[in-house]
Amino acid sequence: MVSLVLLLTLTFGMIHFVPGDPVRSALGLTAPAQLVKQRRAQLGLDKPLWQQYADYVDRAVHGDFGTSITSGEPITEIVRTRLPTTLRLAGLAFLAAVLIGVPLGVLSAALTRDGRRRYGELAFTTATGAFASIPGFLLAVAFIYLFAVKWRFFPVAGESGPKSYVLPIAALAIGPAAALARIVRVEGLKVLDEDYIRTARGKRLPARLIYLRHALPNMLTATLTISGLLLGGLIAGTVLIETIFAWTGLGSTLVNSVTAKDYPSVQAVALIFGAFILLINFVVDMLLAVINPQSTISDQ
Amino acid sequence: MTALETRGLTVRFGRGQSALVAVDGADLTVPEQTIVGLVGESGSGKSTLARAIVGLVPIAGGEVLLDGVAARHRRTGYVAGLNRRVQMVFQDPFSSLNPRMTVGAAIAEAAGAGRRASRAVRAREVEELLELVHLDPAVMRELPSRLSGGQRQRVALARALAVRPEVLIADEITSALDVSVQSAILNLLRDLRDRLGISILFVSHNLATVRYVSDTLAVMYLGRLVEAGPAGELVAEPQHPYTRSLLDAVPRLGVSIRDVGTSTLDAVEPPDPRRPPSGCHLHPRCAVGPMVDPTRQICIEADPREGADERVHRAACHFAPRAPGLNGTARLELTEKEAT
Amino acid sequence: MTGRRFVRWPDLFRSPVGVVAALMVAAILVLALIAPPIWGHVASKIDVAAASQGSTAAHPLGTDVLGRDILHRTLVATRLSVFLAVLASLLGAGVGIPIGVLPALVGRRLGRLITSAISLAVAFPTLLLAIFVASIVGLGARGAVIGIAAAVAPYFARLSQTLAASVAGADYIAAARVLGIGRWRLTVRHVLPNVAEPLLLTLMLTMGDALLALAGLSLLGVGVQPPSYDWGGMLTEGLLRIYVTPIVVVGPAVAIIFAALGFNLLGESLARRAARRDGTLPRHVSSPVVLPPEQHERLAELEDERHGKVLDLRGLTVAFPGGSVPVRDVSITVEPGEIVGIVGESGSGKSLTAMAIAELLPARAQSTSERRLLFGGDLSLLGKTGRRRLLGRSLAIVYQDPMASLNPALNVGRQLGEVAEVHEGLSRREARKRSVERLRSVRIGSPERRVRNYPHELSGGMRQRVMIAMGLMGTPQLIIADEPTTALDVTVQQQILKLLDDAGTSTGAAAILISHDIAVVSQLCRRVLVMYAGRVVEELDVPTLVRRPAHPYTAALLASVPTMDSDRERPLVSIPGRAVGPFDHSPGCPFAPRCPAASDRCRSELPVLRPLESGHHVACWHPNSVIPQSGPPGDGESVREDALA
Repeated sequence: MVSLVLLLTLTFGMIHFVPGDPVRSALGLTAPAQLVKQRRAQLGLDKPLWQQYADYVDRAVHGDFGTSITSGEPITEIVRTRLPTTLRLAGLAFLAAVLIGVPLGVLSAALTRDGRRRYGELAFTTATGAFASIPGFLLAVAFIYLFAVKWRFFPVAGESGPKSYVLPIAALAIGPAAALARIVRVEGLKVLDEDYIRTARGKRLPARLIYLRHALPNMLTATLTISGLLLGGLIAGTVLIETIFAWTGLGSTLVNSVTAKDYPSVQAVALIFGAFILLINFVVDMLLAVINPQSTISDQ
Repeated sequence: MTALETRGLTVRFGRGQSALVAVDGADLTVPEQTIVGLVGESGSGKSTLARAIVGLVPIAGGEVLLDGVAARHRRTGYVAGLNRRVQMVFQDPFSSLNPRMTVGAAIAEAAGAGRRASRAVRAREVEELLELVHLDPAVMRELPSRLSGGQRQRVALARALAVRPEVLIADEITSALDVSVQSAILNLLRDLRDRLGISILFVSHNLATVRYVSDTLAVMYLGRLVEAGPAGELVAEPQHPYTRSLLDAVPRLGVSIRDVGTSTLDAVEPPDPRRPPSGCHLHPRCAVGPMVDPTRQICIEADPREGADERVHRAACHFAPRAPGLNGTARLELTEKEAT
Repeated sequence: MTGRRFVRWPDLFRSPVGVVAALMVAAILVLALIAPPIWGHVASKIDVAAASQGSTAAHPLGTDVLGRDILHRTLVATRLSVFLAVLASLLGAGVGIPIGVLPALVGRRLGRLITSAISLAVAFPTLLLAIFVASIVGLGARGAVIGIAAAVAPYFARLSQTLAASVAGADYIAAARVLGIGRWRLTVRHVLPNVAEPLLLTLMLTMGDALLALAGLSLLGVGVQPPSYDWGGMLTEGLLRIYVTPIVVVGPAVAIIFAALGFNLLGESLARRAARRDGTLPRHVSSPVVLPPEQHERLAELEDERHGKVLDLRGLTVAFPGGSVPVRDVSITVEPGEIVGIVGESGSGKSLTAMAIAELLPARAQSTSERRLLFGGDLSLLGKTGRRRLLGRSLAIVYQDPMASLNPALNVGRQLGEVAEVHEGLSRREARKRSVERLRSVRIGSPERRVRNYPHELSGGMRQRVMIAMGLMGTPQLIIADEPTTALDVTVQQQILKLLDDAGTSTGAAAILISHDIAVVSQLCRRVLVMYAGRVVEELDVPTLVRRPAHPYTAALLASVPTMDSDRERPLVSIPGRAVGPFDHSPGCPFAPRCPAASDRCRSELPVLRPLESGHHVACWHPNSVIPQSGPPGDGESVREDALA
């Protein structure tokens, strides 16, 4: 809750930290003074500060994000049409990253524990390291060049049908999937090294039970935390991917707003993204409390 | 003639209902040039008591006296006025030395703390201290990671002795060492007592070790001191039921487990330290208490520490025998015994 | 004063990855220095005739809209790109690290506020935060750097906070405070050196990420503005023409990946080196296992004594890659219903021996034995499932640390029940019923309730009882107890020992009790094996152990450990020096360097177990030459003989 207030305050403050007159710099030096004055009034920049803050919070709670400086349109509309696109993109990419990264990490941990298959470990580390380091936008560019221009498997840009989803999601998800696999593997190795796994082996339980019933639940904590962070990162990634693939989502909107200096739009997007991040954090914290029975009880 | 004394020392963690009273009104006496052994099981508060004395843990009540003078407290409850006259050596030899500081530097730093001494003087002192703890002075140049556990503990001892304390507190210093190395450290402690005239408060859960090295013993249970007296005497004739159970539980070489009786401590699980039993903390598990003899309700109602001064070994038990002689002489007798 | 560096650079060159990374970073730094003066001119040369070309002989990586050569521009752009990345990282670290230390210095409430602010910032994706900050500050290099610094600072804050907290809790800090060392000196001399290394490593990793983030910002038009150019800006320009002349993207793209990868790999390999040096990472040695050649004198044995034993182990040797042989030629026999003890200090190999018997050694361990018969049969002859079922039902193991040995995520009933479900095919309900019965038999009150508890809800003694109950779920013929009471209070210890004894008598199972505490072993066992440096040095029954041990080590061990009956007037015996480690392969008796009775023969020829009298075997050339209770007075670890290595 405190975080929410903090977020609101920061996003509100954004427009006031800008040096100079935000409206003037957005509309350009040649814009007529009348228009500037009109927009300032629209934005309520004439009123006293605390009143602006109160209005801002009040409106935000009701879902009204004000008006764009450059286009004059209500931002809420813009958001309403574009948010679903971003959510689709981020959501599907998240699914893909988790469905690829987690099993890969677990498998790698199971196969390379105790120092077996040294070369396999090296291959895994190098491959995932490489993919995790290559930024999404570079992958996007490479994919477009290879699969859309040279080999025409997929459309170059635009959101048009299931085929057009493949490249954007792949570009967005591969890096995080590789990072996730690495972390899951490290967690897995740590867990497999614990004494209670030795106990389970001592009981001669079948491998399936040891991994699924004994190891996995103890890996959940770290995996969940990382997944939360990952989702946040994916939302950030949509900014670049939407731009490159020319999708009209909130991400590309953000970019346009920033370059156009349309501060109310930037504020709104910041607020929405921020709120989503907080929501994700909250959900992760809730889930963690559920799966960790000992988080509140301290021992002898 | 006591070097260190605590009166009514109380340490509390947390607040209100869920507060944990780790140390409850402890009256501990450490005479000059004496090794006092402080024993107890986990949760007895012995380590907390030690840490409170040196100011690492805040005190909620009572005081610490050095040579009869009460030490200052900070506003937050930490003891502050001992001015290095009481030093401490810790249990874990691997974390008690700064991994990035050579042995010589660590001891020199201690030797120079609060004094102006030239480098040469300090270097000489470092050598002397290392020889005092029977380490090759060449060890000065090494980082702790190159030393064994036993060597590290000696370095920690040398560092603590560098400030010339009057009292040394050894908090489980042999518990993390191999058995064959422990004996050397124990011998060293006795040696230091004789050579330097310091007092040592030896905290440990290992009864055999404490019995061997200490001149007097003090026993703690659930934050309270239940018995204190000369080591040999206390072990031969324990006055408190808990001490008796504790001594009975120590494995004796060659005595078969089948010849050992069941302790009443078995029957009942140890209580939640946040909600200790009323009156005498031991009463639900006591071999001679109300569970065994229902007429002994006083154990549930009254704190057995009242009147402890009049009992042998100041035992905190309503049914421990009184010391022979008049009221006021009990303490005197004890002091005489300690002198031998 | 110390002369030691934080990071041992030579260490780096032992791993191929480290070498490669170091070279990469070196190349980049060199380029950043020399490229602009050498090629700056060429890179700025406008040649409209050659504008927007693809790959040609004169311009292998193409030209930009003004005809400038991409290859040279890429090289020259190194300076700006790297400089900005480094600047952003340093700025972020410079701001973040002090903020992270703040909660420890200011009051509690303010500290908590700062901590939540940091958590929030960390959760926020880097790029977004950078964009937002940059949009406020203004477009261009300055905005980009400040944006990234602001995005990176929370990570440093979180890191420094964690590090400061972990160091603050260390005993050497407490010791310094008790010594009266001032706060300033404490921070500079004690806290800082111990947190610097991880911070520096993170800084290196951050530079790689900052580079990528800068490129990303430029891609969005929020980064470096013309006429300055960095890799990100060049990439943006190139993207506009990717379908026409894709080659122009290659220069900056490869440069970005190369630099980022270099920094990241360097940071990672340095971190790995540090972890290895601190001992947190196991050593990987790829050399094959070398088993030492042994010359044995075999104990004479009677053929018909071999049958009917619960365990018949002969010549067990356990080795690890790299030359470590922690268990050497160990032989143990256990009769039905018998309790055998193994006594030794840490490093004696006793626990590994137990794990070898239980077939629970880690995968990289190699164990060989001359003969290994468990329950009268050779297990290697059984199939995988058969072996599993036999061991699961008939072998019970009790470990040292009951908290760590129980799965914190499963309740007690589950962990008990699954033994019966898997090995005897019981249903969940039947298994649950048996679990409750077993809990009752180990004297846990209200077992029906306890069965639903999680391990952290039980006391240490109760957890160990649960472990014993777990072993009793099947029909154990052998119980292996590895230091079962070391982590427990002495009153609880007594209960658990009794329980173990009862478990043996009620099931008829034999037991192996391992401990460093001779008194404990003497209470339960009839026969004891004494281990030292991986070997069995003496095998005897308890009465003889207590009165007349023959091996000098056993005698010294007895004399050096205080018991309740030790003479308080006499100094304790102590054994000088240190035990040899598992990597030591010197000839002769392993105890010779510390033995008062050692002769030349002892130092050159390894003594093997020989019978001294019935039921008493010793591996010594001079048994009974050291009388217990009267060893050398005074201290061990004498002044000059201390071996430091």
